[in-house]
Amino acid sequence: MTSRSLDLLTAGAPAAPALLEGPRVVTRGQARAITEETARFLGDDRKKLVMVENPRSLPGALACLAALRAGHAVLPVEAVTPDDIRVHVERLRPDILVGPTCAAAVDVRAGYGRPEAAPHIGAVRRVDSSPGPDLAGELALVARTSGSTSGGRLVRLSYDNLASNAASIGTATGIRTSDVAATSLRTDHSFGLSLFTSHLAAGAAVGLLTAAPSSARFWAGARSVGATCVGLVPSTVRFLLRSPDSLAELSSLRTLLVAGGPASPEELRRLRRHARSVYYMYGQTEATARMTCLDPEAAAEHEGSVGTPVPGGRVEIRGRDGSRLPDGRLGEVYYQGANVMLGYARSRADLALPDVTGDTLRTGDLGLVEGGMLYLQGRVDRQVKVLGQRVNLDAVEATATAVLGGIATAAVQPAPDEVFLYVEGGPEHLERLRGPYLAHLGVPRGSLRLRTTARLPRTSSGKIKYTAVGGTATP
Amino acid sequence: MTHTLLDTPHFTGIGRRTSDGRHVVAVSLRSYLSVPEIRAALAETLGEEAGGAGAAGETEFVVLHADEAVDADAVSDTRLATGRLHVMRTPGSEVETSLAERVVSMMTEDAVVSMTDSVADLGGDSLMCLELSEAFIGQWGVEIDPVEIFRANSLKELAEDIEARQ
Repeated sequence: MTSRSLDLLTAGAPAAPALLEGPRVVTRGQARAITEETARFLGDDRKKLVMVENPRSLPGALACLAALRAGHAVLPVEAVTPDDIRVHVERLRPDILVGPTCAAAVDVRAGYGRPEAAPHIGAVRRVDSSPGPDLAGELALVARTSGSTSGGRLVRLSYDNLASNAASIGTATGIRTSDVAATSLRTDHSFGLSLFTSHLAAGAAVGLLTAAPSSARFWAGARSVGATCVGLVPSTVRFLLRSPDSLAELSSLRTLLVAGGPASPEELRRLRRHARSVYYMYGQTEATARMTCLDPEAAAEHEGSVGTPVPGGRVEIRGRDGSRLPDGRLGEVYYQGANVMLGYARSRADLALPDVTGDTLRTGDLGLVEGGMLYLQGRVDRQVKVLGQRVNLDAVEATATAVLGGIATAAVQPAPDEVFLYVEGGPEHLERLRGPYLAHLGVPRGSLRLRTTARLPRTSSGKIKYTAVGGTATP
Repeated sequence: MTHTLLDTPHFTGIGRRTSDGRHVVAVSLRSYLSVPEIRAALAETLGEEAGGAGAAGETEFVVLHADEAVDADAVSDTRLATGRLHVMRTPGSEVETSLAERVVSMMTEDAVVSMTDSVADLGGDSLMCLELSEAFIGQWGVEIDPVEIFRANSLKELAEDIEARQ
């Protein structure tokens, strides 16, 4: 049995707050009435792809809730320029565009009608004619993976994916109806999306903030909405630990969720001084959001672990031949659960596809299970996370080598959020890379360190010996 | 002798002239403003008041916590001595000037930046630190970790760090 719509506002009392933005409070009752009216506005003649700009604004949040309730599929987009929007429009041909930038970025020549002013959700444009095959009935949301080198691969998530992961996270992190989650992360990425869905599904409220949690502006906003829960990626944790006053001054804070990449046990220990409950979580967009969670009670005993599977999920470690490995053996992490995606998408036509994944996800992460707890040890391939973005070290090398006209390079990640690129030869090569090409290497700005080395260490077969890279390098 | 500031949508405040002629103000914010935004807003507010302090940066100010009262105590010598007093310091050295120009280009148009401001005071976030880190490599060939940039107590301190590493 698969669901074909999702109402995230059913739990909680009608008078309880659902969405908070500055001084504005929208109760669950009001939000239900608005989403019902908006769902009618979106139309029920056929299932539509609804592109929603900035779901961390009140109009954007309401538009997402309405579209899900009406059984449409949502494409959330944040911090977009008109050019970004035109790329999305070209590729996915959304049936409805919601938001001022979206509405202004296209015109009638692009096959969209004149802008309409929708109550509560603002400017809207509709496509003139249905763009091809029907969307899959169970498709609920099209999410971006965090990867910058993934060729713009999108993830198709179903209504069951969203509902099951929201419920699992709610149970795993003990969300209460009195909680208020501050939207500290983009909702077009899975972690930020899960903060939004899990809290609303559990009857809690969401405080809509768009500032980054490494800014004072965010924490002032968090205080004003009385946030009890904030989600952080490890790079932000590092910033906050340098300046922990922001955490200390948020007296309502109860829970911190840390996910999106590896955080060190020391960082998590220090973070626990500032919040009653710190949950360290592991997930992928391909599993809607979260796969495992380290309960704060178990944190001291199982340092370095990402915890146990969220309710309804299962983790297995498998060897190269796909066979299941016993506890304590290192292998690839496989995850099973109702939150495993329908599949990937690259174009509008892909959105008509059924579930091609089943309920099992091959994560590409290396790990082992001990005493029921999962411990991760890097990637099976050479994809790493840097500041929450997936970076393919092989692609970084290939681009750098191309820019340098064939000079050999080696990219390694010696520490979290740092990529070192070693270049054979003299410093003049670094000068060439430091020009306009730097932005095209696929590494988040500020995380790339360039070094030269006389000769890269190689194995007898001529492959770069990554474990020995860096010994004689100079900056 | 204290005087109450004009009520604005962003803050309430109280000010006084000190014995050495400085104009000091305590502001209680109604919504988040970065320190340069407060400086600009104060200049505007005080400019509107008869006998106001005038140009941006002439007024020194403390930002009160939400639970602190806007009264004479808020601008007393004791309070000013114990709180973080925001003063205006213009760039001196070449590095300071370039750094200030870079920072100003990242801020809203009317923000008034002082070399005493930290990245947090500027309303900056990790992304701003990353951008500055990259800019330092390009401009001075100096690598400073984004977290170190975030930690610097002031732009002046950051400029000194850049000069020391050159």
